[in-house]
Amino acid sequence: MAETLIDTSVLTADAPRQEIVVATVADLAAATRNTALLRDTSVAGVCHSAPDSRLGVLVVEDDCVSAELLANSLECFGYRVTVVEDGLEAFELVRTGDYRMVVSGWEMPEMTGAELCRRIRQRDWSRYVYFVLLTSHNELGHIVEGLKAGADDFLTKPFQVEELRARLRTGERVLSLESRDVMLFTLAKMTESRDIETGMHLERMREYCRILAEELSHWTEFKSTVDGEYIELLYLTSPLHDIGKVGIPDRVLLKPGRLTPEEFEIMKLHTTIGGETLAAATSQHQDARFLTMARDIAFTHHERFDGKGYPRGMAGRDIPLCGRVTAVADVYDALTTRRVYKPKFSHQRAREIIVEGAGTQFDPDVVKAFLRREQEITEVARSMDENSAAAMPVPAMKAAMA
Amino acid sequence: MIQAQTEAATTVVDVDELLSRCLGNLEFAERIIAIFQARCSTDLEQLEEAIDQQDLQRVAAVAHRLKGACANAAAHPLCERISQLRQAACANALDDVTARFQEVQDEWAHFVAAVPELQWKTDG
Repeated sequence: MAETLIDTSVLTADAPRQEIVVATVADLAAATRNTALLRDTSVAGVCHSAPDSRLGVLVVEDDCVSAELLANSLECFGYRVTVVEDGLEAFELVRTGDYRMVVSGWEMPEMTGAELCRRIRQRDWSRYVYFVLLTSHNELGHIVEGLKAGADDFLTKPFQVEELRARLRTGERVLSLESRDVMLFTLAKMTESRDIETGMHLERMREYCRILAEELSHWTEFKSTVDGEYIELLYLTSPLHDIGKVGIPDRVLLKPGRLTPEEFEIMKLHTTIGGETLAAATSQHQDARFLTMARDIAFTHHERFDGKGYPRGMAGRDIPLCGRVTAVADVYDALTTRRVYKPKFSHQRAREIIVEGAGTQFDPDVVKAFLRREQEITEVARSMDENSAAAMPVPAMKAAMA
Repeated sequence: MIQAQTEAATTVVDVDELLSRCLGNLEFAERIIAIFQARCSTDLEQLEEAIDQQDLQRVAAVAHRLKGACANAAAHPLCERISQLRQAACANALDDVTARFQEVQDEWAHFVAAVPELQWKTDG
């Protein structure tokens, strides 16, 4: 006789009366195989004409009970969920680029969760895929192996709904940071696109900033300020130093040759235009440290240590450190690349100018950091010069070499 | 508050935990129990077959999958039995595997007998 699985006729009087559902084990097993593992909310119940903007989460789990529970929770949290039961199929789906997050079991047919993660990390995807591995309490060794494979987070079975939600929200924050980073650099590149002569200026100078800040992070007097987060923020925001140039007229910004004093006064406005624009954004998002730093850099990267810079004539350590570091990085790159108003200087000549400017134009500590990491800085300059040449179209390269 | 009505049923499933994992959705909880029973039934057949063939690696793999299903379905007594079966399989102890599998089957029979009496209600 077939076994009854669910008989909702025994529901209590308090619960809504429902139709009696009777199914055999075989029926449900078949139904489970055929449907539960192919659950895909990107199709079900969604209008095909409108793109589904929900974040795509891929659940990879050969245990259909856990998969169903995970998928239900994730859908309720607002994600678009697809469930597959093996790693190979999951890898193919990740390749489509439709999924920003993967929640994967450990032991699965064809490919383990760790192996799936490893394969995802081995490829150079255009966007980061956040990977959560499901583990058991007594399998701590899996955590080490999972971390080595590149997993971002872990969820213990049996999972708790609130923990699942919290871990996925963490993943969302990580992914949004990636979006933020890309957006920041895109903004900076937009500014640079008006002034194509500077080539890979932004890429080089953010590397110089990183190197200088890393050096300072080892010094006792800077340790409390310059930590890993500071270095990362400086790397991210230093390319925005000239964002105010969007407000400078072409006749000044693109003028071949030296600027007249009047034109120079106009050019100097880029610091206040950029700084005030970012200050307005900062006032709306006061917790966003990257905006604060970007604002400070835009305002102060032309200030001088002796107080003779612009726009405010700030002096010494009144100038934020990020501005003092960016000043050295910006000038060094300007010196070592060709501009309409000057030839390309050698590293030695640029070094002399930077050293001469210690205590007047530049913070002596930052200059000292520059000298300590000189070799690394020249290596960045050299490698990015080669990259720039390799990426340059032939006519542009000929023009540059002429 | 959501609770199970039958004492027998609560010994095989932690109803509060399961309902919490189902976000309080009774219909979905019932669906999970149905899927879980189907999964167990199929996996127990596979376990029996693997034990007959003395394929302890397969026993461990199937038991691992089933253990995860039990844990998330909040069927903790069954989960415990299957965990012991898996440990025996990983230790390559065939006699122990056979004994542990019998315990799993006993617990499974207990589960099957109790689940039809599983009743849910919401108060308030």
